Amino acid sequence: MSAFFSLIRRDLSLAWKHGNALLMALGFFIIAISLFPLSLGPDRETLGRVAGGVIWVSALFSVMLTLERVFGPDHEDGSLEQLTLLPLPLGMVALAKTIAHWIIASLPLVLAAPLVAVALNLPLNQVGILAIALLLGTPALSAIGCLGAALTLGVRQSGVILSLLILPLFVPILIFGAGAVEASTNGTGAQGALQILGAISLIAIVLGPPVTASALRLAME
Amino acid sequence: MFENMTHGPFILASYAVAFGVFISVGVASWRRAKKLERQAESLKAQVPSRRRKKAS
Amino acid sequence: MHRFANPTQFLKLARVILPIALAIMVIALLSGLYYALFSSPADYQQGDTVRIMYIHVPAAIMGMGLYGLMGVASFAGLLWRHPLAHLTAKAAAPVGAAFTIVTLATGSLWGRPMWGTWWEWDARMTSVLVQLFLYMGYMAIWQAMDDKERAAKTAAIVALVGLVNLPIIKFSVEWWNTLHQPASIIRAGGPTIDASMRMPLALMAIAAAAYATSIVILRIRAELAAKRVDALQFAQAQVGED
Repeated sequence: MSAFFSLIRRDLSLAWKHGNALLMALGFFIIAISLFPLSLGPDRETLGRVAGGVIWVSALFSVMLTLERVFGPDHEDGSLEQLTLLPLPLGMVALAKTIAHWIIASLPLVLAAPLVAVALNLPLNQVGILAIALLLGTPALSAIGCLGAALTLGVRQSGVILSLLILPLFVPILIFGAGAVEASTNGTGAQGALQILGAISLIAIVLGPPVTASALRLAME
Repeated sequence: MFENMTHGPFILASYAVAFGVFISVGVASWRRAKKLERQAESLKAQVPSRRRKKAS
Repeated sequence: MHRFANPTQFLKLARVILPIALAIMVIALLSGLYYALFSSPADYQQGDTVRIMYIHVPAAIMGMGLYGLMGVASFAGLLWRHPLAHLTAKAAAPVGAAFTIVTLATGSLWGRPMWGTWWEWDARMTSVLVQLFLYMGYMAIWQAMDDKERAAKTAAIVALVGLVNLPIIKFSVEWWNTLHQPASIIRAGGPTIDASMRMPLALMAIAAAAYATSIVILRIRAELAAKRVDALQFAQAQVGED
């Protein structure tokens, strides 16, 4: 069990040391979002209408950017093989990697989103719903993302095929995540969407890591 | 032929797109199968002759 | 079933089935087209545009059916290491993608005159689009990976994960109140389509299935030949080295 937590701690400290990747993803998130007021015009009402979707899509892209670094560096310097030798089932290794990825890549987005949302003129109670939706949905993004990263590990230009693979799988999370904000705006209430988001994340966290482990074994053959 | 001819172009386009897609996929698949099978046959003919040369 | 796992056995079987499937396809297509375009009535609400349904519905069925085949074949390949399984899935993908593209295109061409819209982002249309993306991702994996063993297993995993989209497509029109019309064939009370339309629909569906069978057989033949070519080229290189 301690191997599990030290693996998470290891990934966190690696990310801290090479802080660039972490900041780059957050930076991309903010820059991407900023493109929308620039392209759609500064009309606050328009921005408020699209804020939920814009923030969710930017979150998706930011998460995708970070995925190559989940297993890539370990695979390149041989530490991935070392991880299989740990007294830890490979599925648990995958889960640890997923959790670490969420903390490193998704949590900053969840924390930054409310600030950007206010900048996009999203009404305050919808900002709260957005934050909760991101909190509930991003674990699924990390789980599915890590699975995709493992499947495409070591492939030439894996970024492109990785995006092609996981974007269809991200679609339900996007629909319910942005839908929760939408439902809260037009009064129908976000509970349904939020519950479904939570369920999707739960299923993804449970089923994702074992399949990720199989994909890792495939990649190392 | 059709009672409501204003929608004729849509009906025509649907059938045209469908036939276009299916015929191209069919032809492409057939040509790929033929090409690879021909290649396999010709390679198979070559390998035994080399083995014979090696043995002698 | 394992008798057909042997490529030679499959090729012998294919030699018999392919001409039969092609014949069925031609007969069903010609009679289906006759009924679809001439002998069946125009819909009292939709007019002649309903004739697009005779392409759209069979295409939708085959798009989903071939994905199911791809899933089952992938599962068989991963679980039992059936030699032909992964090749069957690989062969089925482009055909299923073609049917899905036709489904989307004819749906759009049907929607514009009928409901005034080329496209709606409702549940069913979006999930059929997702099915196309899943097919494309599946085919991209085979393309992108040089190690075909790994490609087969990776693609199989992707196909299986994507299976969850099939029930979403089927039930999306029931779960969400959407633009696309609700189920009229496979539903609890029995079909609601008029009998005069069932004949061309059934014939076109048979033609589609026969077409799919023929092309998938052709593509499996191509895959088996490609494997032989690889093996023979490898053997040639070996001999050349001595």
